Amino acid sequence: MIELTSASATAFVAQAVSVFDVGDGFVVPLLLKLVFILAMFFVVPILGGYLEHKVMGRMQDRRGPVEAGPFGSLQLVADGIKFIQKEDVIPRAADPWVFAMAPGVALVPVLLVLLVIPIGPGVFALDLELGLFYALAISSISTLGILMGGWASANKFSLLGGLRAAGQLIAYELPLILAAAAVALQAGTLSLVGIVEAQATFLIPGTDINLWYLFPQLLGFGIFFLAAMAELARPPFDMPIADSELVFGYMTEYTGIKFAMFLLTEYAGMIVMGGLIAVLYLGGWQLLPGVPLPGCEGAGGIFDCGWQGQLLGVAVTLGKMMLIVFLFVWARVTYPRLREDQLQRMAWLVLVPLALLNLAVITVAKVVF
Amino acid sequence: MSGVLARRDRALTPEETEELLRDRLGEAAVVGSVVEYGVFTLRIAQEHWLEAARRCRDEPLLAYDLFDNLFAVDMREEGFDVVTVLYSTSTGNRLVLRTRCAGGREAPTCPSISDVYRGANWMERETWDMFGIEFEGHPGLAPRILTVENFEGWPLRKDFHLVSRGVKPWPGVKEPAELDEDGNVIERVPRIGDAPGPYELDKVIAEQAKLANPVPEPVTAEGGNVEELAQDADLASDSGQVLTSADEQAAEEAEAQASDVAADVAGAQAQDLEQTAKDKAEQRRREQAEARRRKAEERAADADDAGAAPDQEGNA
Amino acid sequence: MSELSTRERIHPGTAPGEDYHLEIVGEGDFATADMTLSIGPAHPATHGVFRIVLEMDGERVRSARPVIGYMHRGFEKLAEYRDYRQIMALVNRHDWLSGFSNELGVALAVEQLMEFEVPDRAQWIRMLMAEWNRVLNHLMFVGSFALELGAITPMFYAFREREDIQHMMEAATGGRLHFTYNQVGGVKIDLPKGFLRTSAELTTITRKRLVDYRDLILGNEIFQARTKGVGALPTDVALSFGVTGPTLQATGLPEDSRVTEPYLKYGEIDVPVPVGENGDAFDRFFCLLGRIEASLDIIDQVLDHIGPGPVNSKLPKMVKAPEGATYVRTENPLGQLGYWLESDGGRTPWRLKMRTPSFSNVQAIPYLLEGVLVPDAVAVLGSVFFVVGDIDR
Repeated sequence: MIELTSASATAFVAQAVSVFDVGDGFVVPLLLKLVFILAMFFVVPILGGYLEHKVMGRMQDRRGPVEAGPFGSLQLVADGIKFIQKEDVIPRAADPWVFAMAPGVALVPVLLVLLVIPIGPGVFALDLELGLFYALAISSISTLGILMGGWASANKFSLLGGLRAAGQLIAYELPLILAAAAVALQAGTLSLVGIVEAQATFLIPGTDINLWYLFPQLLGFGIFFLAAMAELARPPFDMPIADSELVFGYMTEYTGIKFAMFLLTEYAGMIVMGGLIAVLYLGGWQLLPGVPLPGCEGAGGIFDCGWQGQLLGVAVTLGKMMLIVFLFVWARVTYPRLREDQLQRMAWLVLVPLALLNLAVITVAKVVF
Repeated sequence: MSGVLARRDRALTPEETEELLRDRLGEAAVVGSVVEYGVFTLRIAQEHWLEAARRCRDEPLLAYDLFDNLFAVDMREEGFDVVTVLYSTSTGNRLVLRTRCAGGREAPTCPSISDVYRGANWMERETWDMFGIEFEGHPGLAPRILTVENFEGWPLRKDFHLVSRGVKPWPGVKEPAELDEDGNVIERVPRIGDAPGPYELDKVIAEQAKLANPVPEPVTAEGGNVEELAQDADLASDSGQVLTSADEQAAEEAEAQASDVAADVAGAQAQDLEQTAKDKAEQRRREQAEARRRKAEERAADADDAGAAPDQEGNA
Repeated sequence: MSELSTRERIHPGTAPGEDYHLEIVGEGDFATADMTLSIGPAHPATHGVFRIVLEMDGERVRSARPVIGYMHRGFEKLAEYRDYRQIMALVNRHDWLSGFSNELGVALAVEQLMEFEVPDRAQWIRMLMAEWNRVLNHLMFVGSFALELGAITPMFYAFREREDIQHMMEAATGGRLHFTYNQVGGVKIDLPKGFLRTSAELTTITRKRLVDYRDLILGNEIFQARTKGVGALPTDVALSFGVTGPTLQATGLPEDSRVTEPYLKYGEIDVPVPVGENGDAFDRFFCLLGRIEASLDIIDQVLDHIGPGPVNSKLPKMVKAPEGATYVRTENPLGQLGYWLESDGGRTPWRLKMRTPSFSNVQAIPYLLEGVLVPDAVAVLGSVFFVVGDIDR
């Protein structure tokens, strides 16, 4: 197993080239990567949002959006245009600078995380050695933006929402990182591309059956999924927003484009978390465990692909992201909201010990096999 | 279910209840009793009101534990009655206690039973809000619970008239209460609470409206600010306010004068279409308007005209 | 630092005239004060214009003060200016979710004063409509309570059922909220053809879907964690406040006017009354669902009993109640509704006092809110079922 890992590591170094690195120039790849990131940032969340609208609608015995665009697919675009047109209100008692900066501080980290998430063979902007570490570190900056918004609004509901968000995000950061650490430990690398590759080449000890990390780390997956839901403040963990208690939490005083930025943060956050889960547990762009993509040769059949393989790989990753979004939506439609203290208790008394246990088990297994 | 009705057989009859309360509170406490339409009502002397409520709750044979209702009834010249309805979940009996407030119509007071029943707190606040009955011993009747904080008057008293009837008379010949079955007018000595006829009501409403929204004194043309007058006239003609007869004449005069002046001012500004329409009504205005149209290009001439107009008005 | 400047520091931008009583805890830079949080009048949790002022220490409520009256429409005064027939259209508006049950109380009171005999079929129809109205009302609260706890889906399901029922009732009465179907001496017109069959079908469908609600809400772990032991109301306190309806039944007392003081034909049939144990939010919701089922049972029994006959009786040209007073108490969906009707012999009531269940129920809210957290406060507000129009009248 250890030999296998080191062998795959060498293979990985050969593969860590982005498809956007065309030629030797600096400008063209940079522009291509920017276009890629922005497309990921604006298009995929809309896809996720549309999925949420439609799935929620069907689950609730209604149709969801139908008017804007074919089958209502442009509803979120229409919403975005509406938000841009709305008046940008800053409450008189608010701290105007902090108030105005907060949505940006919440939004930009999500954008930055997209830099390192690979969605296909070679389809990524950047392959950092510390990719996973970078993603988790950067994404926790969003909390600051939410706290800023809650405090600067000069509104009691906002303040309560901001404080709840801060408490909740700090509490769930820990199980999230511990669960991710177990994955990094098993893969032997922090690079997200490397983790995908490690999954494609991971065999059950003693056999030649390829498996994703979802199966050996089912517990870790559960922890990561719950923690991700809490990080994103999605129902049933949406206490920072809690519309029946806190009106709209830290977003209460926001209007127009700033409100839209907070909303985009949520949807893009779902995509980022979906991407992370796909990469960490669901084998990235691997279609099925042990099944190589057509036209791909390297490392378990997911590298060195032609354009067909690359396209298919992107489609597979997006599909897995949407699956995760679907699970998020399903939970939202089904469950009422937890109470703040129940949420904290769950984080510190249930998830953190379980995550530690998971980490310990993986460590032992890693040493033994 | 049987638990609820178990003691139903042991429930006291109205006579027994009355007897028990007379025994506990003294003969003078119970002024009278009546059973009508299956509702048993006990009249309690006001000084025994609190004690009666407490007895009804605590006496094991009565055990009126569910506080149902508390309100007042306007009794015309005699003042106000305070009524409370109690119910016993164990015996299934219902009891109505009724007392006459001390202080007549001017300063009605009644002891509070909010210490005995928690629910009486808001009910008494509501009764104070609606009738102005002071409940002695209540933790705090103010602020007004249902009406707005600065509301004046006691709306459920019969001498407080429904304003909407003044604004829009009842869509019938007469108030319903004034006709008998055959459509003949019933001759009655007016009492408190009788619906007043349309004209009397108009007067009452006008009085109330004048108190609530005092009409500002109209400024006379002499020495008055021309533009202010014009604005006042516009307001009066646009807002459709119902002016009371007392002020009507003065207001009309003011309006007439003001609109004259306003027309001139508007003429000086050479714009307002509405004003030109008014001009057509009077010959003098029309001449001025034609003159204005001829001089439309010459701003200086306009200014002269404006300067002249108020003087003319003053001379007239 | 003077108290005034502390107040301004802590409550920037608050309106003048608000009555704070600040309790400063600690000294120097660490001094803190309670926060006054005004929930409402326009807040999602108050479903209507109802305001509740919370004195809070962090997220814990120290005391609560409901402020009502934003929707006072003066129905008691208006009723004194309308004759008995016109009152019907007035009284079905105070609790807009139970229009028919509201009318019913007045109709019964006037008939009692006039000593009017109502035909049998009219009485059965009234029961049928009253029970359907109760189902409508309770379904609304099933949805809204779940919504307040953050579950969005039950609202849509509840409205699906409500739509069917409203559609059926509209066929008979012409109204969807304000039915104005009662009149003194019976009901306005007879039921349309097929109404009884549709009723029977809808009871089956609704009963089947109730299972979904039980699974989706009552069986939900988060729902149980949020509501069990929250806002427990002891029976004696509830009675002292005059709390009735599902909120009282949740405390374990099967007090229901339909059983203890039967009106109409309730005495002839079996009325199931669900009861809770602890009087907490969970039990209140349990009783609410139980009451829907009870109503469906009653509807089935009514369908067995209802026979042909006249549905109203000829009234005199002028409806006049003789001098006297009566008190009629009916089991409204939210609790017991009482009408004190006092007549001086004229065409209009001398005094019509409405004892509305919401008014009494809401009084208990400050008692329930002391010491709970804000999320629990919302659970309490949602589970002490009230309609704002019913509080303010």
